[in-house]
Amino acid sequence: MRETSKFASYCKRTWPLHLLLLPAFLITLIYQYIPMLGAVIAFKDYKPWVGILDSPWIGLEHFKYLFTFPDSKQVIQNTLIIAFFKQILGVLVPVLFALLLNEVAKTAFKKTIQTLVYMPHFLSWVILGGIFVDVLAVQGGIVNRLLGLFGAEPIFFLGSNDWFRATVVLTDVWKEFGFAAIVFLSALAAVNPNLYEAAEMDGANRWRQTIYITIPAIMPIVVVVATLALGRIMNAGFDQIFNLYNPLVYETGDIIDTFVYRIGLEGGQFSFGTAVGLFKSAIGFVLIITCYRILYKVADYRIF
Amino acid sequence: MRYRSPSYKLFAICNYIALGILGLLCIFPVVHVFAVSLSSRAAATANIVNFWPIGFTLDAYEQTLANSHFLRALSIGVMRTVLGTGISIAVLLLAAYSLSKPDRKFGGRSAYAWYFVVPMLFSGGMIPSYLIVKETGLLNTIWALVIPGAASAYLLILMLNFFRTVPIELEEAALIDGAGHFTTLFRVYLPVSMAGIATISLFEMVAHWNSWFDGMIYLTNPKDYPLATFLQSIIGKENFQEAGIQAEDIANISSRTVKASQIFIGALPILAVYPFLQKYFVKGIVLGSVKG
Amino acid sequence: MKPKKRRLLGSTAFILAFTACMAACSSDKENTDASNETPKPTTEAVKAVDHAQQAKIKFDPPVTITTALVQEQLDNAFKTGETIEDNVFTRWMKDNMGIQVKFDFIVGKQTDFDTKLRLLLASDEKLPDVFTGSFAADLIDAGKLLPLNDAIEQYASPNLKQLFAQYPQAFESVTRDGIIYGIPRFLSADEGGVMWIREDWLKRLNLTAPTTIVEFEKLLEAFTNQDPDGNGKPDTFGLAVSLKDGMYTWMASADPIFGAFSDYMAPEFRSITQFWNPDANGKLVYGAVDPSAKPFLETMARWKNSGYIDPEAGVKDAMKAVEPAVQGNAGVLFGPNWMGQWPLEDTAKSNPDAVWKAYPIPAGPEGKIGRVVNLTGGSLVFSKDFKHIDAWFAYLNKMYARQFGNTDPYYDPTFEAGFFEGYDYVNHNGKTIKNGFKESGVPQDKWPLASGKTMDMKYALYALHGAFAPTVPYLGDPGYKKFADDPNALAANSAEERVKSLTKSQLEAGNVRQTQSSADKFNSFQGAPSETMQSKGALLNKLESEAYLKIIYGEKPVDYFDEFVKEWRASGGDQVISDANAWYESTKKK
Repeated sequence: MRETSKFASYCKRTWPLHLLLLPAFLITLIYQYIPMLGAVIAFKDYKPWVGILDSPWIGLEHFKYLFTFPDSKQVIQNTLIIAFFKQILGVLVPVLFALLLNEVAKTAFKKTIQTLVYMPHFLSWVILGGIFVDVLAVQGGIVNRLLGLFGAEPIFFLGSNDWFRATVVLTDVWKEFGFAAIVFLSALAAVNPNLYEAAEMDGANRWRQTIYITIPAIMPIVVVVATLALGRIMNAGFDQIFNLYNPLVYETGDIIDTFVYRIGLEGGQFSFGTAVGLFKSAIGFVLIITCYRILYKVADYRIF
Repeated sequence: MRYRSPSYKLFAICNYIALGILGLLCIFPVVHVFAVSLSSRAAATANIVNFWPIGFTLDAYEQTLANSHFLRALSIGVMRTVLGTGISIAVLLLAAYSLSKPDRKFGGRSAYAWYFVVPMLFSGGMIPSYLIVKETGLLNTIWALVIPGAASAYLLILMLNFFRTVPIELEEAALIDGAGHFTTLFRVYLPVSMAGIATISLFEMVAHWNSWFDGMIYLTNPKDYPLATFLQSIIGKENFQEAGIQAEDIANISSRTVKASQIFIGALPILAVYPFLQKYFVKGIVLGSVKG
Repeated sequence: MKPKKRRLLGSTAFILAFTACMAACSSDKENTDASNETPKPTTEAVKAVDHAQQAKIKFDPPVTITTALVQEQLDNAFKTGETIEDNVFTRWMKDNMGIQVKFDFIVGKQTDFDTKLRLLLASDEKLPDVFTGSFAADLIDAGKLLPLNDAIEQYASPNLKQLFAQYPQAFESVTRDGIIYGIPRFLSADEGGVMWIREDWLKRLNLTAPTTIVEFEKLLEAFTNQDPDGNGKPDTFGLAVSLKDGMYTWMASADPIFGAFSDYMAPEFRSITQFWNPDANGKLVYGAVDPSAKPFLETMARWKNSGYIDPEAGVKDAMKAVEPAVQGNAGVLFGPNWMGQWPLEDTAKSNPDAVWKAYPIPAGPEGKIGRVVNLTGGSLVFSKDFKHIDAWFAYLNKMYARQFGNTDPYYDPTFEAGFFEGYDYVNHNGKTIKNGFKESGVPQDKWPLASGKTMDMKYALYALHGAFAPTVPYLGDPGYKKFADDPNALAANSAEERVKSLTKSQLEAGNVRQTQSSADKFNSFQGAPSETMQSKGALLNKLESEAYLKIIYGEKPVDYFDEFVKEWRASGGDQVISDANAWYESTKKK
């Protein structure tokens, strides 16, 4: 009886909270969880006209293939390196930018810069790919002409294995930092101004205020964003690489997704694509869980 | 009155300059696309346009604005964005409020949180998603574009973190006044979380504005395409070999200038929306609006 | 008046003849000579089929045919108010033939088309009645396609049957165990590359056009180092070329250079199914790994190293690779004869002196010339549930009849001058005008489009043929000379009509092309990709593309080629070669 009443009281106390979650719960159930069952095709030889249920099981064949094709080591390594730097810089640069922008006192300037850096996010890599081929050209490209002013030899950014990854990471950071900074700017906006006034009265200079007030205030959001970015550690950005890479830089630039794409061209291999997706998700998931656990243990903080 | 030290001033000057350069670096492709859209077709084919139109003409804009297909796609894009953002934000705010409660007040919230996080990583892929959208009767309706993705886990997590910054005293005061959860959410949480709401609204809008793949697979008739899907279908890789297009067609494929004008006009609405939301990020209105 | 299904006496005879010819032609895959002959229009009706009667068919009640398309955004495809679903031709079809066209889906790109089709398959929805079979082998496996042997026999016009019999290889990719599942979309086969040279640069440097690779190299040297544009700056190079997607691509291609060294076709890095050609012993050879590629690579590497070719060639696709030529920085490129108008014509807009002229492609050290030509652009396939293949053939016969000319029993005199006045032609002062309305003095209110452009009605007219004009290969070729000599000459058929609408520089280039028809090479592998091709194809293509570009860019010595071939063969290449040859043998046995 006590059990029931405990449950009853829990229900009584929390039913509105459950109710508020219901719409999101249902949408996720229907449009995310039910289709997720379809991921079983990773373990099957799926043919669309045979159907998910009737396609034969083939166990881990697709996973085996992913790890045993001659280039798999290279491709996985490229993916990890490119994605790792993208995710790290993709958090650090926007945070730094947000902090610097926060120091700007003139609102008009602040707003203008904020709008300008937000723009590249809206151009697709198909367009930007064409633009970067010109900007980074060996002969006559703006970047190489600038480097030439300093006496540097022209660099074949898109065709050199020494430079390709750096080019990809930097151009991606350039495209996304302004957009990614929005979430940090809005976190900064939520910092209580009274704290700064108090600190100033205590004689803390701006640097110390940043260290002791600003950064701790936005830390929770930074940690959340960074943790979630870990979930994408196997995503090196298909659209970008697909539009920028070429056979000269397959060695350093061919990633899992582009490889799967090229395989798929020979005949929609959904099973293999799903298997690869599952593998990537699993890695990301493990990293997120680890991070979540560590933060909970060390800082007693649940990021979500 | 604040930070008047000489070193800070030096920093401030450098900061202005650095940010200014950064801003210019980011705007160059947009300026380029704009310049191409105002150039002659020949100049665009030769790719000699940099940041200033060559052979200035408004032809591309005339053509684009007379293109009923483009205009319809534009309006569907707007509709989809407004509808999608509205629904999402409603769903997300309700859910984020619940999830922002500490464990001691809402046993089971962690389970919910993980429930939402898992699909952020794992998905069944295109075919199962298509099948469920079809089974639920959304195929070929605008709902196929706004319902399935309405509960974005990423934004949910962001929003719940914004809600967590709401001072606990505010909520407790409300609860003592006898307010229920709904009242607390609308009277206490929402007014002080405008920065967060503006952020996730913007993310939601941008996501809807840019997303093209769902339009392509869930809609049959290109007349129903939202702008992103429409644009995607015209600006893809120009590989006529695979499409098997014949010579005489190529010259008539909309020229780069027209594409540039479509890209530019297509980006305008979403660029224009930003300054309106910006005020919520720029100054700290959180506590100022409550009480000092 | 429902068309009666006639029992045909001639059916067995035709099938026998068709199969016999298929066997005969298959054993000689390279039949370039045969391909050059256009089928002679025939008026001789096959016994027992009253074609005159069939030609007048109107289906009552009307028949609906559904299809699906990739639609590019053309600005001259429809008049205001008309759409792909409702336009002058769809209305005409409905009123005169009793055929109604409906679209199951329309997308903007081939990849999207494939995705849509796969979704339809996965959800077991109805397939379009007729569509371009981009993965026909799978569809045949799935048992989703309609066998066509009887339908071809029963409904195709005599000329069409003869065309089909002339190019049996075009059916091989959609044939399984003798059953035909698709109708090839033939191309005009006039896209083989010519050598485009900046004529004004030649003159300024007092050079003549090269005829051999050795002379070609001298030309590249001159265009690179002797300031051909006379601006005093070292800002030019010789060859504008795209190498990113393969040695063959649709503009600014390197295939004629490859062909100067090799008997096979220049590799494309897109699919392992292309390109294959038979050697002297009748074995299929994959051109990319043939030893003859080595001197080609050696030459390209030398040119790259000397700065004769676009330093960016390896990162540029065809569209991008043409830019330096149009900008006036490059003086030579290879590409189809139509390039004279677009995009090369635009060069003169920023450099008024610029003149591009087409020349024959240069011959290699052993006098070899070769270039890639495609005979078909995919096949049309039909849903097995399609009930009105007779209606589709009624449409196809009528469309093809315009190619075969007015002696074809299905020729419709309604379309004598063109399809619809005010659309693809305008009558003005007793003359039929098809383009250049402004120049011909047609008043503006009679222009088909407000812009004055000629309409491109392929989506209206050819929606049931994958938006491809039904074409007989090589049929328009005589037109190039005819219309270059006399722009007002009479077009013998619609293939020549198309040629007639080309510009002078395109016509001249087309004549240049025809002087080298023997250089045209077609892919001889037309089978479905084998299992190894599917599982290893992407890897093998990657090996090729890396080896080729690294050698050309000097990152690897030319001798690396041998190492690459060894690796290629060991990574599944040997299996692929034997698969391709097994298929090839099987076509011979038939």
